[in-house]
Amino acid sequence: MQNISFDVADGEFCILLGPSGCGKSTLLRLIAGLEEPSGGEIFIGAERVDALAPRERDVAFVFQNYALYPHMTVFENLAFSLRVRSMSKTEIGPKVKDAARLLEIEDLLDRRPQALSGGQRQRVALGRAIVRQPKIFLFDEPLSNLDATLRASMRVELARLHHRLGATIVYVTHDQAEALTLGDQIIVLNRGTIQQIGSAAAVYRTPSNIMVAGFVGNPQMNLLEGNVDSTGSMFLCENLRLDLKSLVNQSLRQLSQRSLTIGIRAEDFAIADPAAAWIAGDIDLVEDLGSDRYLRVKCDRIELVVRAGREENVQRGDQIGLNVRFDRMHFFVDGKRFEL
Amino acid sequence: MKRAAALALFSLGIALYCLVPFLWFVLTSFKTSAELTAIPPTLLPSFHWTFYQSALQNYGLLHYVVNSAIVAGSATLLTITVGSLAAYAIARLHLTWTNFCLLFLLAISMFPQIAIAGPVWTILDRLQWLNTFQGLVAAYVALSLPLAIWILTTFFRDVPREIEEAALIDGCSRLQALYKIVLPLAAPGILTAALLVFIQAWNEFFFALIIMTDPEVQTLPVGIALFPGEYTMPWGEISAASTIATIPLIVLTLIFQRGIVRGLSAGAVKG
Repeated sequence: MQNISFDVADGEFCILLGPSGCGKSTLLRLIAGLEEPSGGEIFIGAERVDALAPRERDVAFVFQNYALYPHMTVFENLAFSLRVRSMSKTEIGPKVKDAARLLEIEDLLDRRPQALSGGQRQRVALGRAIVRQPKIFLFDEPLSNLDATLRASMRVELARLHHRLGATIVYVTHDQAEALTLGDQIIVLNRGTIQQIGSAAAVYRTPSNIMVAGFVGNPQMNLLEGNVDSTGSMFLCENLRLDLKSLVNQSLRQLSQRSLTIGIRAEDFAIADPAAAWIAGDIDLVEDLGSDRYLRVKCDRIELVVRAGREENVQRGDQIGLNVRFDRMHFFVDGKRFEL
Repeated sequence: MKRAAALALFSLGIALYCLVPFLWFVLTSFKTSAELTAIPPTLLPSFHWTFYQSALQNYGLLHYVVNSAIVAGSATLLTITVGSLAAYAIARLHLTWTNFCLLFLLAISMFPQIAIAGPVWTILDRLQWLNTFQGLVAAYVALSLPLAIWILTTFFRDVPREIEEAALIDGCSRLQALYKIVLPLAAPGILTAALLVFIQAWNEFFFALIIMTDPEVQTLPVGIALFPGEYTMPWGEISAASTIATIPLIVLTLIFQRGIVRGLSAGAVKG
């Protein structure tokens, strides 16, 4: 990991987002004290903690596979951290009951983890964290092991919990949908370095490089690699010549002969008459998700993903023309965002 | 249907084959002297306790049982304690040489006992530990540590790292996490290892024979082997003594087997 530097504000929901192996879990574990940093400093509040053991940092960690204590009941799992700190039984009881009530697991208190479903175990893991009222909550992909419906409902619950508890949360995920819906601040990581830090809107609308552009957003942003010609008005990509005159702008001419990647999101296309459109191709596949339809369009050797409304009459094999919203186009020079 | 019956018969056959020697001396122990030497051999004895009485009173059987208990018990306790520490370290530390350690232990354990008998005897002699309990226990600990460490490492590895980390975050020190979380979860494994070590120590003959020459401190296997006098071959007493020697092992296995199976079937360690 290199050049990692960021702040998380009090009460903020901060997301560490990135593909597998990018170091986000490692970063989380460094904050928790489960890994030792080879350099640098970690502060929780005003206190420097990178030399402290996990138990001295007052953080709570929710693991991806929950890591509940299998030889204890749910009640004992929740009470464990309080018992270790020698809290009396009279104090522990109400705290555990409150957390259980908040997460609706009150009738599970006598059960063992083996007798719980995935979703229930996840709530117990959450409960274990909440009961401690720590300074920071650390979540390591807590929803990855749940099925899609449960994931969606737990996402909502997590957001509600965050507002209710006013907690400071650092949350690791590879699911960009989770990141966008939950995060106040998103930190995109790749291969041990920070790619971008920003709000969900910032990361989605103004990705700072190709990696972020391609990673955030489902379906993936269409990325076209090519050059600008010497006049600065045509974009040459594979065998296509795409007209950029609508963007008449001085700065494009300076990019001629340099490699340029244009990014266009699936929803920023408009379907038009193939003869007069900006780019035309054949529909290779229609993915009908019910609420949206995504078309896989093949234009010469380029493959594009285009969102189509429900009313459009489009079928596999049709020829289709696409116009693009130039104001929503992204430009990347040498991989980095280029602002016109 | 036929195959199930054939399989059942086959299994029964093998079980009988294994149990016959045991059954024979148990039955023999209840015979009278006359039945013992009868031809044709008596299969079912009339139940007399004479051989047991004789073994206990004339051959000092109880004395040997106590010695065996002390030696095997201490050896098991020491082996498991030391072995657990080693196994925990090997299981948790991810160093390049931890696998080498295990292989090295395996290699050592393959030494034939007769090859190391002489050196072991000499060491104990120099320490003046011949004919002492600590001498034999020391030898047994050295003999059973490799096996114990191998078994314990496997069981410690089976305890998911995250559960321990959760304990550390919840406020435990390393030792507390070990005591409150890891040991209870590894308990079935520890019991298994303890049982195997105990059985090995209880039945061990060779080192007991060469190290313990004083009848005061001899263990059961050696004691029973020395029952025969110059002119007598007390089959009856030997049978009685062997039966008594086997009972503790059976009882222990039955008791802990339940615990081990219960521990494993409780779905243990899938966080």
